[in-house]
Order: sequence, then structure tokens, then C-alpha cells
Amino acid sequence: MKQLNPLSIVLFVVVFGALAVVPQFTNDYIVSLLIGLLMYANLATAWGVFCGTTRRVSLATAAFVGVGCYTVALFSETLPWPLVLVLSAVFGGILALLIGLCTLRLSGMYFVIFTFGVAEMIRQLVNWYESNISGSVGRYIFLDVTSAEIYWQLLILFALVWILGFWLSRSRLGFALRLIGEDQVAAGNCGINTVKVRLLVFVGTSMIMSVVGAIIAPRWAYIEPSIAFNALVSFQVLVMALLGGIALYFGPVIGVVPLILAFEVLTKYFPDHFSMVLGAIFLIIVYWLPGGILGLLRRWGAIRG
Amino acid sequence: MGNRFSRRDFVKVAGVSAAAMATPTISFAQADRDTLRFGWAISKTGPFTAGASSTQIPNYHLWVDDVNKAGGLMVDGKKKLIEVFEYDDRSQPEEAVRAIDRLVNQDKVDFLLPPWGTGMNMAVAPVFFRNKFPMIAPTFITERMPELVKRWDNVFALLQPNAPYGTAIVDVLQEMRKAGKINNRVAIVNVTDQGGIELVKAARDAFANTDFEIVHEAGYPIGTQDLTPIITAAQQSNPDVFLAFSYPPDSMGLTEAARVRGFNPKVFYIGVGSALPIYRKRFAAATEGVMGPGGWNPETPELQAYIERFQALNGGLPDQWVSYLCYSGLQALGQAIETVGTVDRPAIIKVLQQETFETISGPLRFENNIARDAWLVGQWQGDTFWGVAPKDREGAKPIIDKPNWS
Repeated sequence: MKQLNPLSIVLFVVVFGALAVVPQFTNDYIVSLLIGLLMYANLATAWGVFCGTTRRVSLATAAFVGVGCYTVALFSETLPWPLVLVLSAVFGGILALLIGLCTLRLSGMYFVIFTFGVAEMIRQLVNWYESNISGSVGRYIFLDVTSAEIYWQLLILFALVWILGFWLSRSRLGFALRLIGEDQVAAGNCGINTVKVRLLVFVGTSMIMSVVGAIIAPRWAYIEPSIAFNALVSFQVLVMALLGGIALYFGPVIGVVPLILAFEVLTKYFPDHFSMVLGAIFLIIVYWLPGGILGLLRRWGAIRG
Repeated sequence: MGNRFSRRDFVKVAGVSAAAMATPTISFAQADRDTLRFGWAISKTGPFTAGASSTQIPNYHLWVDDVNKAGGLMVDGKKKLIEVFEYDDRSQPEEAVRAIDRLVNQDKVDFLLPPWGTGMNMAVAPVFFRNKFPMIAPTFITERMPELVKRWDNVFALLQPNAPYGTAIVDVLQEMRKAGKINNRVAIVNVTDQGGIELVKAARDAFANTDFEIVHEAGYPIGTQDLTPIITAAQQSNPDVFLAFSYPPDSMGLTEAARVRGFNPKVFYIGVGSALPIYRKRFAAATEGVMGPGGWNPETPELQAYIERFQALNGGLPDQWVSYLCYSGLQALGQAIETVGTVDRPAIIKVLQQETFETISGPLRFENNIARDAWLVGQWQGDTFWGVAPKDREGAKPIIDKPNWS
């Protein structure tokens, strides 16, 4: 592994330290806004680590978030909170392992459709189970968690994701992953166990997504399949990652911030034209920002790599 | 070089200004303002749009319009006009929570109005509660309402929990059988979503104490397009009573399929959607005798005037179950605010819990935060979805026989 740049460590500590004390100095709305930012920052980074490097576009994000939500609904009243978070990661991991094993030979369009299909199928399965077995589709989550506490949990998770992404970008595993993204056959010929590497990273990043779902669920107090497995989340994460750029592990985050702020401005000032303006923004991203903001910064020479 | 800097600066400036636009505008304490600020975040896009824009949004606008035309609400010794802050929650709970946080902290609203639907109401209820905002919810139906209002004493429900709707129709059936109008064969279908499941459970429990025979029972997933097989299966069981605990799209589909198949049970009851103007518009005279939850008695001058004002402002007609209740809830809120005379929200919540309010639907009183009197079964008789149960309620119409589909 390459040497760590002390400056980046200091910067990391300062930024996260500053973010940690934000709730003390602001109001609920700013915390709310930051929760949205952190939620998508976590999801998009986790998404980017796997999908960005292996060039496989996954639309299963919502499935993992949903698994996290339902873990909370099922176990939060009987188990201590840290255990619930661990469980949500475990369930998300198991699901990812199953999806991963099913999609070993799939890539490109087929992988996209498969992941989208799986997410929808899980939503319908939960719906079927809830209506036929539990006899009620909605589940209530009564946990006295403040917005600030949700924010801090997301922040800690984000710090972990960031460290993980940083480590991965410099480790042999990350190198192997990038190689697979460039040319899977060549990577295999180099002696990389492509199946193992892909599975490992897909499971790991999916666990993070499930934990995000678990952390955010108490905020909604009530979940049902359409809320927990909201396909829109998958698409928003994808668009954010595209805007940011997926070539580096922190690329997707660059897309999260402007988009969440744009959503916010749109809802506040153009509540009736939200979808229209949003559509225009997406068009701009696709036409003018290939490679995302990251690609733009690269072209300007602002960053290397 | 210059070009590079200016473009990077542009991104920077754009980012910073976006952040600035989304953050505080200077606001003044309520007492210094000439207006009362009312805010709501409701589904203007996404799957909940149809419900929100037929039952709630038009009534919010109508009530604000009515109050402002009358010079405003009497607060702090003077009449204050209502100023509106309206956002779209995009049918997503996270958006709804953030929008409410924004209304409270940035827009500094004096009052909040609730969103549409049980899930969204659940999501924002803790925020309403934390900031002590009264929340008179027009579309919040859950079995656990009595438990919820103990937790959040600021939440008021204008609709009943599901159980009363489910048991009321069973009571109606018992009356009809006693009168010799129907036999005891019942077919039940339901949409397998929260509302449908809770309603069918309530009905099943109520049937358990009767000697009605449930000859057919089936559920179908939300979003089912072709409902003919559902109707066919029910028809084969040859029932006198057909109950469907359905949602608007499938209420339409079931009615259509029953007409096409010539399925003519003596009682044809469908769930949510039966009270909508669009239902009447689509099936016209064929709706005669169809039953469903809700209903009203629009013969009072107050309701007549309400319908006129509603049409003048919003174009179409209001639905005949939730709309007028939504408006009545707003009237109660307005009266509670004027009773207290200041924006002391905890005091306003107390008044709402204790007093009776004069509304377009008559006196409105909350008992344990749930509106006390309500129509539980309605029946189409002519142009109106009349309230038929509880039958001892003032203005209740006797039940008519349902003619065969025309």
C-alpha cells in the first residue's frame, strides 16, 4: 500500500470533526438536510465502490435499503440497537451473496435488469408475506431516536465507508477489482479469482446499504413495502454517482451534494415544476458531463488519477 | 488559465448559492407579522397524488380562500390573513419529514396541515408532536389510532379506525336479512394492502358473531389490472352479498367487471373510491344502490354552500366521504385558534380536545382525539352517496334495493 498523505488524514479528521458538531449549532431543518446528504453519500459511495470499478450497474440499492428497514421493524423492539444494525448488515450481506451468485455470468444490460428485477421481486414477496402471513402490510417503528442521533450514526458509517473506500483504492483487492472492470478475462488470466473478488466487494458494499436503511427507518415511524423498497432510491443513487463520476471511490459523493441541494432548491422555489426541472438537469448531466464532475475536474487538470 | 478559473469559480459559486438559497431567510416573530403562516407538504407528484389532489389539497385552498375573504383569523387582537407555504413531498416519507422541518425552522410557519395517507402521516407525526403543532388528519386510518393518540396527543383523526367501517356494513346486512331482503350467502374480496387487509379483518371479526355464511373469500394484489377473474369466482359462489374492500382503481375495475359479467348480487359494496366524483361520472345511473364506506347528507344549507364554493374554486365536485370532513377539520382548527386568540399551540390542542366546533357537517367533537360522529356506510341514491349507517344518525336515508346493472 502507498504511503498515507498526512495532510489528507488531518483534513479527514477536521472535516468529520466539524460535521460531528453541526447539530449543536443548527436547527432541525439543517440536520434534516444533512441526513439526506449523508444517506445518499453513503449509498452512492457504496454503490460506486462496486459498480464504478467493475462497470456493472446495479439497480438493487433499494432492495438492500429495504432489508435494513425491515430488520429494524422486526427486531428493534426486542434486540439492542447495535445488534439490530449488525443483523441488518448480515441480512443485506446474505441477500447480496445470493444475488452475486446468481449473476456471476451476467454483465452489462443483463446485470442491470436482473438487479432491478430482484429488487421488485423482493418487494412483492414481502408484500405477499405481510398480507397473507402477518395479516398487515404496514409495520410501526417506535424508537425514540432524535434526528441528531440518526445524523451521527450516518456520519460514523460514512467515515467508515470513506476509510474503506480509501483502503480499497490502494489495496491489492481494489487493484484486482479495477482490473476486472478493465478486462475480466485478462484479470482471470493474471491469476485473480474474479468471482471471489467481485462477490466479496458486492457483499461488503451491500451490507453498508442495508445499514443505511436500518439507521434511517426509525425516522419514518411506519414502513410498508412501497416505502422501504422504493425503486426511486436506486435510480437517484445511480444518477448521483453518474453526476459525480464513478472512476474514483469518492466520485459519487461529488454528485450527491449538488443534486441534494438542487432537489432542495427545486422543492422550495419550484414545488410545482420539480419533475420538469429535474428532467432537464438529468439531460444536462448526460449530454454535457460524461464522466461526471470528476471527469470535468480531470480534464481541467484539477485532479490526477 | 483564465477560462479554467472562471469555470471552476462558476461551479463554486453555483454550489454556494444553491446552499444559500436553501438556507434561512430572515423571518420575524409571529406577533410582529400581519399574517398567519400556514404550511403543508403534500404529494403533488408520485403515487399518492391522486388521493391528495382529490380529497385534501382543494379543501386546503378552499378553506384558506374562505378565511381570507372573511378578513382572516382573529389573533392577537386583530384579524390576520393566512399566508401559505406549500411543498411537494413527492410521495416519499423522507421528503415529507424534511419539508416539515423546513416549514418549521426556515419558513417559521405558525401552523402545519397534515399530508395525505397513513404512511406519510406516520412519518411526520413525530415532527408535529415535537414542535407541538396540532395535526387534524383527514386521511390517517389505522387500527392503532387509539394507541397513537396516547403517544401523540396533538394528533386528531377525522376518519374512524378501520374496525367501525367493517362492522357497520355487517350491521347493515343483519338489518337487511332480518327484513327478509337477503339470504345469508356472502362473498368477500379485498386488495392486499394495509387498508384492505384491516377492513376485511374487521368485517370477518364482525361476521364471526353472526350466522352469515362466507361462501367465497379472495385477496388480490394492489395494481391488479384485470379484475374479471375475481368477479367471476365470486359470481360462481352465487352470493346475495358482495363485499369488496378495495382501493379506487380496483373499485372501478370490480364494478366494470360485475356489469360486464351481469353479476347482480342484492348488495354490492366496494371500498375506497365509491364516494369519488369520478366513480359517479364513469358509471352514471348504474351506481344506483351501490354501497361503500363513508357517505354524507348534503341537504343542509351549509353543505350546499360548501359544494358551490368548492366548485367555483376548484372546478369539479368534492368527493362524498373525506372532502367535507377535511374542510370541517380546518374549520375546527380555525375556531380553536380564535378561541385561544394567540398562536399558543399547546393551548389550541387543549381546546381541540375539549370543545365542540360548528362545521359544515354539523357539530364536530373529538373524543380521545378521534372525531365522534361519522357516516360509516354510504349508498348511491340518485346523484348522492347518501349516509345510510349508523341509521339512527340524523339525516340517515333508508337503504334502497339495488337494481340490476343498467
